[in-house]
Amino acid sequence: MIETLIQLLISGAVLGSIYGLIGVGFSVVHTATGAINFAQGEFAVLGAFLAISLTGADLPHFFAVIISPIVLTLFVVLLFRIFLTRVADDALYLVVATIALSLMLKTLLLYFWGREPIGLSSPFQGKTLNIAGLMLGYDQLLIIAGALIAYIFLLFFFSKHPAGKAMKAVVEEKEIAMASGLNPALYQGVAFAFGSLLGAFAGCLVAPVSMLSYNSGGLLGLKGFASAIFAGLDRPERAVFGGIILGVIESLVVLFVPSGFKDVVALIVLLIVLTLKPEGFLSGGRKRLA
Amino acid sequence: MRLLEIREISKRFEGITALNKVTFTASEGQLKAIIGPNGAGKTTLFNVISGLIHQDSGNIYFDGLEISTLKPYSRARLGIGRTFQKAFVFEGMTVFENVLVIAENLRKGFSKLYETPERITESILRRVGLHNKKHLKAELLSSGERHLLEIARALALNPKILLLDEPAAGLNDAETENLGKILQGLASEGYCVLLVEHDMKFVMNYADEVLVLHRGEKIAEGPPLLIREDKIVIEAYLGSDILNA
Repeated sequence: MIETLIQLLISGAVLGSIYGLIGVGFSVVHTATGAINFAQGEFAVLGAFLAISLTGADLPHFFAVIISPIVLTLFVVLLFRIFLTRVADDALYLVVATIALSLMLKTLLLYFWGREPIGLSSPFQGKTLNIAGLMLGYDQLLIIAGALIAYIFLLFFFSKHPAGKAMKAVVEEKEIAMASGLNPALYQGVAFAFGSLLGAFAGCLVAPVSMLSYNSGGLLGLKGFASAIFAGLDRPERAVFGGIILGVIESLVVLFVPSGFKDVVALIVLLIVLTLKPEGFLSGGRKRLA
Repeated sequence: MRLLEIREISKRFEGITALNKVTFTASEGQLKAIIGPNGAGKTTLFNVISGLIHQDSGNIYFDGLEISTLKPYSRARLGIGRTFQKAFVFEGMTVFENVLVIAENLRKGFSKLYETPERITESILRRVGLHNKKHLKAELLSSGERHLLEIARALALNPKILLLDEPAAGLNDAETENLGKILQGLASEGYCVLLVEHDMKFVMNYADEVLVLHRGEKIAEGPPLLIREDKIVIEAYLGSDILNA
């Protein structure tokens, strides 16, 4: 029984790391723009599908997983420059624009990759690590490592890097930041670049362990959003832990209810957080930034 | 040397004239006060110069360039630093970080090689007297200290001109005197300081030129002593003793 419980905890943490990575994307964009990016889930699926196509073109797995997020990020930066810069000053308009972007990306995914779910074949498939009788796949280890690397990187970025601090300044007092020489559009573009990079990276990590279809972005996005809300939108890096906690809860719930209900957990968590602690359980206390 | 030229700037808000063909110039090393009763258009003028709102007509020239259509951050990067009437600070950051975030994002190239943003921040905070509070969260500062932090943040831009909106508000007598000395020091180093101020004693003591706005129009401009005796100015202030404060 204990072994089953620990196995469930591990698989929950693995899944949760994916939610966390996607959640970080939500928080970063919110930090810079005050808006929610509804295309975040689609970034993950598009990143995964690009990697699948690249490996299909005989590119080594490792390169595909690196190149796909970069290509997607360049694509998103281009989209931001062309369409979103003009509406980025108004959070409501930006939200509407990202809903349109989400629908557009979904259509692109359907057009180019079809309806059938597909997965990314990984060189680590089937390889597992036995730790005191607990089996942990290499792909699962990679997911957890990826989430932790993202956490450390973002912690550094927002507390030490000039651009990270400027991003916080822009969202805290936009007019003041502008009058102090900081260009909001620049940092908003950087936020979208981060969001897409992390989303695509999450997609590339999850694709070897779970099949994805053109409309998987909705559910991934919802769970990423719930992770970000759980942690508090003011602390992007903490969404990683929000995701892990959500993944573990989701995983343990199947002990008590049929697994089909698992996906409802994110919605319930979302409602509980928004009702009891809208600033998030891992937040620094401020509604926006600390 | 002439640094700022405001030429016939007008601005209306829903039928109300906030600025009407205001024209003036400001030079390097000048400490110029802009005074006027409430609603005279002083803050609007600062918002127009810094680009936070756009004028309906007229032109703004800074350091030989027309900047009338530039975005606020571009004007700031050219060397226009400003503070606000309600002293805004980045509350989630420490006093040090408030200044550092500007110093490290805006000072590029060779100056960064010789002077690190941290060093620049240290020296600016020392200059405005907030060095001892550098590790404090900015939200814990008093109203007067917030004004000083705003000035420090504006200095981090390495500006040529400082637009200070009521910098003496919330300061006690000793702090006001200290602020006056800081501003005079900046002017003597060649900074152009434009300040909007209600504290007439402060204006008369420290400004070397005064511009008076009334209902959006410039009604007088000149040395403080002459302005104090100007009949139109006295009338604008309804004969109150405010100018002799």
